[in-house]
Amino acid sequence: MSDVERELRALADTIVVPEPPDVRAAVRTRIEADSPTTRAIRPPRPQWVAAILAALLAIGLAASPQARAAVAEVFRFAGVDVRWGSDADDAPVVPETPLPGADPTDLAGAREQAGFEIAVPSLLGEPDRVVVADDARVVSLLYNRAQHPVRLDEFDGSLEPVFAKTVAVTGVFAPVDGERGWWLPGPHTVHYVDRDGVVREETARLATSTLIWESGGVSYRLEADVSKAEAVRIAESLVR
Amino acid sequence: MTTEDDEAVRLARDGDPDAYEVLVARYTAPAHRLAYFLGAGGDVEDVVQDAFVKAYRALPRFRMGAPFRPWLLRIVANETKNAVRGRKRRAQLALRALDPRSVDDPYPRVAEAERRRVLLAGLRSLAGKDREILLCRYFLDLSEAETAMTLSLPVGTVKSRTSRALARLRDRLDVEVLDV
Repeated sequence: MSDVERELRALADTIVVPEPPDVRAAVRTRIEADSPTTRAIRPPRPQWVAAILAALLAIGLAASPQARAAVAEVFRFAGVDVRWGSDADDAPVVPETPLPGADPTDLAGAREQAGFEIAVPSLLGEPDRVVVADDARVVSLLYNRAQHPVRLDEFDGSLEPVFAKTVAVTGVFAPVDGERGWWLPGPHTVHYVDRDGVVREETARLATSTLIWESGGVSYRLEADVSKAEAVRIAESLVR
Repeated sequence: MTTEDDEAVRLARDGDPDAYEVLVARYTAPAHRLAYFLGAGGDVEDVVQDAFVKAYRALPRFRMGAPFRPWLLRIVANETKNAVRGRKRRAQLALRALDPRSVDDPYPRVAEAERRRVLLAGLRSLAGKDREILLCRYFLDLSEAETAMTLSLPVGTVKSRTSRALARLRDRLDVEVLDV
């Protein structure tokens, strides 16, 4: 151990820290007030996801609110939890804030850090900014188009939720290269679900329409104020 | 992770509040210390309480067999950052509350007290990311792996950032000495 390290440890011993509080009773009261629905989302079994997806597909994906409620409150697809509800209307409009541990970098830097291949839509070309977040779990390509800013989030894997969205409207099926895709029209709130499964409120932001799809074990989320057809075209132009 | 933790976590995850209370009692002190050092200030008790409630809700996602302490501390660190950000105070204030216990010493050893002052000033002047790492490693005595988990960083980053932060701190100490 170096001198400075030794000195730091010695310094720590001289720091006065207040007595820790006894939070047992308060914590207990709060966790006992929890209803099962307010607990963190349990990762559903793949076959459960498949069953819900099949059910949604069977009812044409444009089911009435009653039918939707009967199917599920949370629908998971390509690493995104979609919650039906009116919360989207009440959600405060907050400016985009960085994801946890967000670090600006460039394409080469992101490719070095991420554990998966990063794809770039050839329709849009090189992004204006690249951000890696949460230990390169999410890589975001940002395009500062004056009229239509575009954000493409790419993340490894598909079953563990990375984003939670609250939408007031139902989504529609939007195949990308023949693979399953999901289109969520209009604004909705987005929360980031960190590695502990804790939904991080502070990263909530108001998103525009979003296309979600999965390809080759990587999940994609394209946020842009464009039509569904345009979003699918952008999605299909991805080059790894 | 001790086997008692394993058992308590398993029971708590299945909804046993008594088992969770055991974990709360066991880890309140390190959680409180971390929140305090990271600058929770007057919110420290709320932060600790909120972190324990969030951790309970996140238990279904806890990977059984993993160490509970750093998993919890990560939630505490995130809660603290949220609280600090929420009240729009700079993380720079984090160490302002730190006062060496020199008043207890009737005959203060001036050189030592001065050295501590310089060291604290150096620590305060570091960038938040560098300071966090040093606080975890040397003030909280967390291992590199525990620090990595607490701060949501890869272990390699903890290693490289620790040595870089120590080098920066050394540089500042040298400057301080020259200035005197």
